[in-house]
Amino acid sequence: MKTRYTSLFVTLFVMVFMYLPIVMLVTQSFNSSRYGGKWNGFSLKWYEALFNDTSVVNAAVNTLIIAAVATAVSTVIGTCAAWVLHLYKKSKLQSAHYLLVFIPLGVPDILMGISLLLMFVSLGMNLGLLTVILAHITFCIGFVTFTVLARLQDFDFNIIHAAQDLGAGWGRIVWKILIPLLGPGIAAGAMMAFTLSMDDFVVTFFVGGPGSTTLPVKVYSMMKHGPPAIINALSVIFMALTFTAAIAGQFFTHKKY
Amino acid sequence: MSDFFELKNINKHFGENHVANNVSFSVRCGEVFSLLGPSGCGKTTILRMAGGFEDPDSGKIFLEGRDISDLVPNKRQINTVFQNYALFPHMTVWDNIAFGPRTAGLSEDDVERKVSKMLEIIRLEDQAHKRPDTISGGQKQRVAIARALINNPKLLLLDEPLAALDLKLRQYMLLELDRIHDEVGTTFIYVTHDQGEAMSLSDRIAVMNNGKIEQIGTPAEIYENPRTKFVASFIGDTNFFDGKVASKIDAEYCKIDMTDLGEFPAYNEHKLSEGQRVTVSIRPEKFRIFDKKPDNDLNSFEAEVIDIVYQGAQTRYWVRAKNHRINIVTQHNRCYLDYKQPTWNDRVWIAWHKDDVTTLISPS
Repeated sequence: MKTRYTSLFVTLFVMVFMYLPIVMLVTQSFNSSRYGGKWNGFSLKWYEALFNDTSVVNAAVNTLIIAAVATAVSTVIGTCAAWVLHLYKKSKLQSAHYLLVFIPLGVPDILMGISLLLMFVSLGMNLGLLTVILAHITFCIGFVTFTVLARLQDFDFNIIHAAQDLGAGWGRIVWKILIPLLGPGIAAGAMMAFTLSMDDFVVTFFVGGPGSTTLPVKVYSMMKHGPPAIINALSVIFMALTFTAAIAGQFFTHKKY
Repeated sequence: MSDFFELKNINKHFGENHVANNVSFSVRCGEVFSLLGPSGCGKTTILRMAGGFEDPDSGKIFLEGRDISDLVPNKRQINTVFQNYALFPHMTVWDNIAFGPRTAGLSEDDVERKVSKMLEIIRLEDQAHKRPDTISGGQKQRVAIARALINNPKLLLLDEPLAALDLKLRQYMLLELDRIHDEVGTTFIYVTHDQGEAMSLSDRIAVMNNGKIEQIGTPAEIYENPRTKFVASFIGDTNFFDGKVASKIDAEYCKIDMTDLGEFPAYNEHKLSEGQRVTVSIRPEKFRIFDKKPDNDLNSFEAEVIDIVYQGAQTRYWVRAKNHRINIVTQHNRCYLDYKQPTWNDRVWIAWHKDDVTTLISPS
C-alpha cells in the first residue's frame, strides 16, 4: 500500500510540475487583465487582437508552409534512407551512412544554426523562406529515418517475396502490403518532423531573413515589446497545433496495422 | 516421356562461393522430393532458383518439358511456402489465403468458394477471421501451405517448413503435410536439414553437400546404401573403418582387411578387385554384442566396453578395439536378452553380418 501511494504521489507531482505552467498559460490567455496575475474575467480579446495583427498571421502562414514542405521532403528522403540502411545493413559503407544520418541528431542546434548560416552566406544565398526550409529538412531527415528504421526492423521482407510468388506486381505489393504495414511508421516519422519544424527556434533564428519569420521567432521578438497577453493567446494556438501533430504521431507509432 | 520437373546442370556462385555445382535432378509428377543437407549446402538457393527468386549462372529449368528458366516467379505455376511462413500480418487468415485468387482477378464468389475449400483441407475453418499473430505456429504453417496451394500450382516448394516448430508439433505437422499431399496430389519439393523429416515424408531424397548432389534415392536406399562417406555420416550414425580388399571370395563377396582388426567377408557391391582401398561403413544398430565368440558365420572381433549411454528406447555402447572407437546401439527387448548386459570394462565380442556392410570407394 505504501509504495502505491508513493508512486501515485510522485506521478502527480511530476504531472503538476510539467503541466501547471501550461495550464496557467492557457488560463491567462483568456484573462481580460492586461498583465496577468489577477483574474479580471473571461475574455477573448487577446485572440481578437492576435488575429488582427497581420505580422502574426504572416508568421503563422510561414510556419505552416515551412513545416509542410520540410515534412514532405524529409519524409521522402528519410524513408528512402531507412529503406537502404535496412536493406544493406551488412555493408561497411552503410555504417558510415548510418553515422552520417545519426550525427545531426546529436549536434547542438546552435552549432547547426551557425554552420548552416555560414554555408548559406558563403554560397551567396539570400536568407529567407528557402534557407529556412532547407535547414529544417536537414535536421528532420535523421528523425524520420530512425522512426521508419525502427518499423522496418520488425518487417519480414520474405512477405514481399510471398506476394510476388502469389502473382502480385509492384503496384499491388505497394498498395496491399507496404502501405498498410509501413505507412503508420512513415506517418509517425512525418508527424515528428512536422512537430520539430514548427517548434524550432534556434536554427530558424540563424538562417531566417526578412519575410521568413516563424511563430517561435515572432514570439521571441514580441517578448521584447508586445503586450504579454497576446503572446499567451498566440502560444495557446501554437501549442494546440503542436500537440495535435505529436498526439497523431504517437497514435501512428503504436498503431498495429 | 520427359520428366515432370527437371533441373539441368545448374551452376550458381555467390562471390567466391560455388553454392550450386552442376546440379541436375528430376522430380516425378506427384512425388515428395526432398533436398536434404547441412545448412549452407546450397539447398535453399536451389529452391529459390526453382521458384524464380534467383537466377542460375548457367543451366536450365524445365517444367513439363517447357523451359521456364527465364520466367518470373508468378508465371511459373510454382508456389513457395517460405521459411517462417511469411504470412501477411495485417490480414486475416481468410484474406491471406485469398490473396492469390484476388490478385488473379477472380470474382469474389469464386474466391470465397476456393478459400472455403482450402480452409477445409487445412481444417482451420474456425480460425478464418483471426490474424496470424493470434494463431499457433502449426496453424500458421497450415495457412502458409493453403495460401501457396490455392492457385493450383503444378509444383509446391517448401523451404524448411517445420524448422520453427517444437518437436511434438513437428511430428504432428509431418503427418498433416503427408495428409495434405495425399489430398491435393501436388508435387512437393521439400528442403530440410532434418533427416528425420526427409526420411518420413519423402518418396525420394537428394542429399546435398557443398553445392553438389551426393546421392539421390529413396529413404531406404540412402540409408542402407549410401554412396559417399558424407551421405553415410549425414544420414544416421555410422562407424567408418579404413581398409582394403584382401581377396575375392566369389563373384559377390570379398574379404576386406579392416586395419588392425583382421580380414572379414563383405558384400562386394562395387565389384572391387584385390588391393583397392575402401572405407567400410557399419551402422551402430547392425552390430550385436556377445559375451563370448559367436558362430563363425558372423563376423566378429573382441573389444572392451568403455562407455554406456542409456537412452530409454535403446542403449548406446562405446567399445574400443585396437585403435578404433566403435558406436553400437542395442534395443531393450527381452527376446534378445539371452546374455548378461555388458557393463564398463567388460571384454565382449562385437559381431555383424557380412551383408550389413557398406563399402565406400574414396574419391582419389
